[in-house]
Amino acid sequence: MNEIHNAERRTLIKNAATATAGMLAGGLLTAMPAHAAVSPPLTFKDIPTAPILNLPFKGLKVGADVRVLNYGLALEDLESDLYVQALQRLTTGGVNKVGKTIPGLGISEMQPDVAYVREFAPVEAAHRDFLRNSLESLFSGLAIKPFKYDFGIETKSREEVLAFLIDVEMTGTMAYLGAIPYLRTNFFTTAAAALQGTEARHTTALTIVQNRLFNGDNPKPVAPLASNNNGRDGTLEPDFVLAKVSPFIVK
Amino acid sequence: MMDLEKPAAPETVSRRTLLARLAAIGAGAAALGMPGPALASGRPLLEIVNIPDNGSFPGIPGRNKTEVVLNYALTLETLEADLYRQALNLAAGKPLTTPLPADVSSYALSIDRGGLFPATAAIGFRYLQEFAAVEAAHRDFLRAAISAGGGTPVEPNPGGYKADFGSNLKSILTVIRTVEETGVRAYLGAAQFIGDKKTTQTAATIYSTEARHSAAINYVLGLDTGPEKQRTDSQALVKQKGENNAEYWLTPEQVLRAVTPFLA
Repeated sequence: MNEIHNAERRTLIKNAATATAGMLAGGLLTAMPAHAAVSPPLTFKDIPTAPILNLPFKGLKVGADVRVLNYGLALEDLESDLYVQALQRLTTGGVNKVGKTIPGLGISEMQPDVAYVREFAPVEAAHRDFLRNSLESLFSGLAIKPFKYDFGIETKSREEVLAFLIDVEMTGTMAYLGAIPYLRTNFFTTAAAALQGTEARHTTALTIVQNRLFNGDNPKPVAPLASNNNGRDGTLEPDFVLAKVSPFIVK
Repeated sequence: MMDLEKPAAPETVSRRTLLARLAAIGAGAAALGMPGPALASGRPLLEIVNIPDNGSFPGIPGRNKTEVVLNYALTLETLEADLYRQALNLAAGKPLTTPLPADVSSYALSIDRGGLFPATAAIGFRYLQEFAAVEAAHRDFLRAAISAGGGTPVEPNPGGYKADFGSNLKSILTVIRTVEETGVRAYLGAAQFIGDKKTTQTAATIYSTEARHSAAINYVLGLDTGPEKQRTDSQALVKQKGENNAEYWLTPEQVLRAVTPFLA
């Protein structure tokens, strides 16, 4: 039996981790994006905060809240760009921010999936802008710098695009819920929940369209059934979410 | 609007300005929970967020504010569960008083669609079946959670609940839609009065599905996904361009007043 050289073992482990992350993220056996993804995957600790704001006032822990807001901003930034690329892919094509050409599938704006993508795209952008502007108005330079994203969308079919959008919206829905315990003040609780509710609506609307277009006699539930977690939405930890989306963040 | 491509230059902020900003946040955070004079009373903080500051929950019991909020949620879920039960009974041609069984798969749409297309009506009926069970599950979950915490879950309205459902599926779903959309606003208007974030998270996992239900019923009725700003709504974000960019909130007083017609 041949001994594996240490360098080869590191490569094997790294490739396995990348492949696992890809399968985790896509949930489908789609091709991995061509651009090198940020490596190692982001964790919650990588999200910038402002230690200077953790002053010793009773109940004043805005620094922790800043990290949560930046985490939200990272996800909304990704989602906004995904919607832009999804629209390009579904309709007339275009070039994404990493310079990749996306051939358009030429689907009509009257089709329900295209109509919802068109409708929800500015909402995600508004979320991103709200979070960014909020952070910047607290302290200039506080907001996380935007990334660039490669979703491999140029080879996705119409059905795969929709499935991917639902996956990301569902992840966002649960990511917001999972982030709540990391808030230390209630300054942003109501606002974060206000954004979260719309992600939940998007998840449902897109699932309804998926049922209509692709799922035939086997519609997926559009909201958790009573037997699923008492009919309540699930929560995802920040580290899990960031590991799931990191393969799409270009280094 | 900020250009996302250019990193913002670091600003030199004087310590006094920074502390003044932080003090405003601290004052806001500390002052939250005090009842305001007006029904729909909010407090814009630093021109960013608009937080409800009317923490009055008339008639809702609890040993502390967190428990009051949970009993507030239970009050609404109990109402909602019963209205769903009635709605489903009406739509399935069953007596209004029929209890909700564990399995409603044998139920079938038995009334006029009210102008909804057949496929849409079928979906709408399925949502009544599914969501009736979910609201009952929410109710039961909250009862158990309050009891587990040593509290007393609030009892259902002694006289029961009623609604003017009309006589077809569309009119029934229109009433249900109002209840769901109000529920979303109720949770959002109460969230920041909860004393610990774990409980806030738990409440939010329910709130999230009320938003989902609202979107689903809006779809069946041919309406916007939502939320759509309604007349008495308050914005959570001070500056909000698109109507559907964020959910709206109602104070507990507003909600409890709004659901009075449903109390028999």
